Amino acid sequence: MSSHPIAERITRELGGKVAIEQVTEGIIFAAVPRDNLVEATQYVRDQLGGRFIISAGTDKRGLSGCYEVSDIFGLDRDKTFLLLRTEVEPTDPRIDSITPLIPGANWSEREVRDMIGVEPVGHPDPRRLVLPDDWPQDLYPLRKDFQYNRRPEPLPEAKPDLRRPPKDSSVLPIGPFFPTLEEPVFINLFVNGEQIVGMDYRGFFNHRGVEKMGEAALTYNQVPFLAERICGICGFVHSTGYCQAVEVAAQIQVPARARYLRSLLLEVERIHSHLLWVGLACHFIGFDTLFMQAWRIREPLMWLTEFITGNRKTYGMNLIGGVSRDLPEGAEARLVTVIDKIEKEATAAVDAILGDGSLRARLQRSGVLSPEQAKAFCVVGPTARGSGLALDARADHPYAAYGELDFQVCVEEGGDNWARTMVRLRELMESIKIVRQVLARMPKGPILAEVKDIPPNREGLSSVEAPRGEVHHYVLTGTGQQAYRWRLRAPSYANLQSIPAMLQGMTIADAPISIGSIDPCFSCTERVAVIDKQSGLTRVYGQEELLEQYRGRFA
Amino acid sequence: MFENVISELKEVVFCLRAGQVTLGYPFQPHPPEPGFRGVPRLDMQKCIGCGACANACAPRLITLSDRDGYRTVEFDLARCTNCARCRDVCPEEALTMSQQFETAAPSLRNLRITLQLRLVSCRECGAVIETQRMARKVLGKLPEPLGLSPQEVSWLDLCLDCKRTRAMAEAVLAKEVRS
Repeated sequence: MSSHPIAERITRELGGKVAIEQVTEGIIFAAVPRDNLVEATQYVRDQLGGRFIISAGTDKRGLSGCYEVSDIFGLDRDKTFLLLRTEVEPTDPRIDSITPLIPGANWSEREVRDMIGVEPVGHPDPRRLVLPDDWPQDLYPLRKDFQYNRRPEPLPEAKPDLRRPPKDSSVLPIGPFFPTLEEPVFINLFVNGEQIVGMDYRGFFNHRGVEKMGEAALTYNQVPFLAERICGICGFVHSTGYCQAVEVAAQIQVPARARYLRSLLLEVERIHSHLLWVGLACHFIGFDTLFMQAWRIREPLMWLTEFITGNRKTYGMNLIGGVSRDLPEGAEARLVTVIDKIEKEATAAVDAILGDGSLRARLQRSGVLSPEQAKAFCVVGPTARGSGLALDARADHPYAAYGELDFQVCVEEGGDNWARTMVRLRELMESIKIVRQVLARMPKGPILAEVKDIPPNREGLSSVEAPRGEVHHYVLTGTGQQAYRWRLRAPSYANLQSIPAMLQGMTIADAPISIGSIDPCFSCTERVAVIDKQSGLTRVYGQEELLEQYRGRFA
Repeated sequence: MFENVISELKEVVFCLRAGQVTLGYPFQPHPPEPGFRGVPRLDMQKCIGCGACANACAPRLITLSDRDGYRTVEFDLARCTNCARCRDVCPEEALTMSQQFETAAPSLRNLRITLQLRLVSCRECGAVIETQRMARKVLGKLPEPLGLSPQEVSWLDLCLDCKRTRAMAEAVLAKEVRS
């Protein structure tokens, strides 16, 4: 076991309670008995400055005889991840909740309960999160004895367990389908007159279990093509995150050119995503002129991506060990032209809107998230950076070529919608600089490492800074060219949990833009639809049949 | 107030300078970029039915089924994501990616490619060995002066199990002859 100052510190200060299992480059694996979990979590949060990322629940009954809950923390100051593993006996599947300590662990713990069946004891809001309301009790889809294509009989007359509004307030529902939300989500705003006094959230309508697919049906090199479809805008981050996690687990050295190509495409994706967001944000507040112009500026980049990758969405590039194709001839020259034009036009657009009084009035002092709240809810990306937290996976946990590139982490104080807008506008310019650097420094050479068989029982994890924030992937390798466990977290999963704090005390009119300001991606959070191959029927359905068909598509 | 007016004027100039950018598509064609990956095409003459594409296909839309002396290779392109993994792994270069991106069709049947290839069965037990094209491919790869006896070439008509049985039987026989 190689030594690591933090690993040594943990052993020294918590010796006997936390056992360091393994230290690899950038990751500390540690085991903590169930009884010491809360104490250890508090220590990691307070003494090590650990930022909670996600819990990965794993059914390891076939390996160690236990369920396992692994809390993954980012020790960002020290450029290290810490995985805190707790074994839970199947006879008593309970664990002490850490949500009272870390509000950002709320969804994570509920998801582990829904999918694996480990009950977080003392959780402040133990309602169902991921599974549909008519899913039978005591049926846990991520357990290994659950067939990935099984269709359980739905419970009759199931209803969402919604919170009652506080006294003297009424309910204003947003969703499940709402004009400014492109995806289904159900938010119940509790309002007193114009003022928002609370809210309740029911999402995960799109949940189709990609993790189960990646563990039960797909091989290592098939998963990137599913992963890149987790998000409709920033898919490359997910395929990169997954590939990197497997590469870490199997200790595969990715060729330098492939690392640079990944960074290049990640930044191209950030540029187009931020331009898309600027447009959408303006659309939310009724400023459709800039909506149209931002998307106009963005379009040539999409065409260029189509030229480079064969698809306007950077699809089909990532494989375990590198990327599948190199830049086509003439791509560098075209990239320079397109990037220059975007820089010029974006600068002109920003210059035009900065003095716009109505824009400022709509964005400033609305949707405020204080640094303390941002920290508590473990938010990431522009949402965190707009609240003054200097978090950026590219700098904190360098991956791809970012360790060799110079760039600035854009941080704004204020925590309001304006601050989050400014972060993205500055990042847009920063990304353009990164693209230029990559083009200047990209070495020649191979783009795909030769990958031999991937050994079982190795763990890897990886963070990738998506336009919306940090994407995290955890992989435990298995046999038969398949992962034993694949856990992923999209940035909106963390950021959405901060929405209640953001909306508290705001007016109804601020709600759409505030929700929009985190650039929520519900399908990412809920992880992609998988459609049944057999359903080839076309006819008009009644409600019952629609529900039936909808459920049937789970297979 | 004054700042506001300037900002709005700048916005007007910005929009006017851009002019009209909407394309005439679909009334005017809008061909994709040269490297674009559209609907895959299968060269039915080249395909040997080895199934490498079916192994690699992430949406698992390529299926192989053996029945009545024929292997049916089927592509359900309605599920295709045009990732080109099938093309990349095809040993015969039978797959190419077209530039076609308009895939609307009156029926899902129009998005299906079906190819039937004759199978070779084991002459002893009748189990499926491979497609006739694969068998021919293997035969063609054998170097001419290898000096295989006609009997040895005829082993190509045996399935793996029967080959093993026969090899074993012959080895035993050879040993008995020697002793």
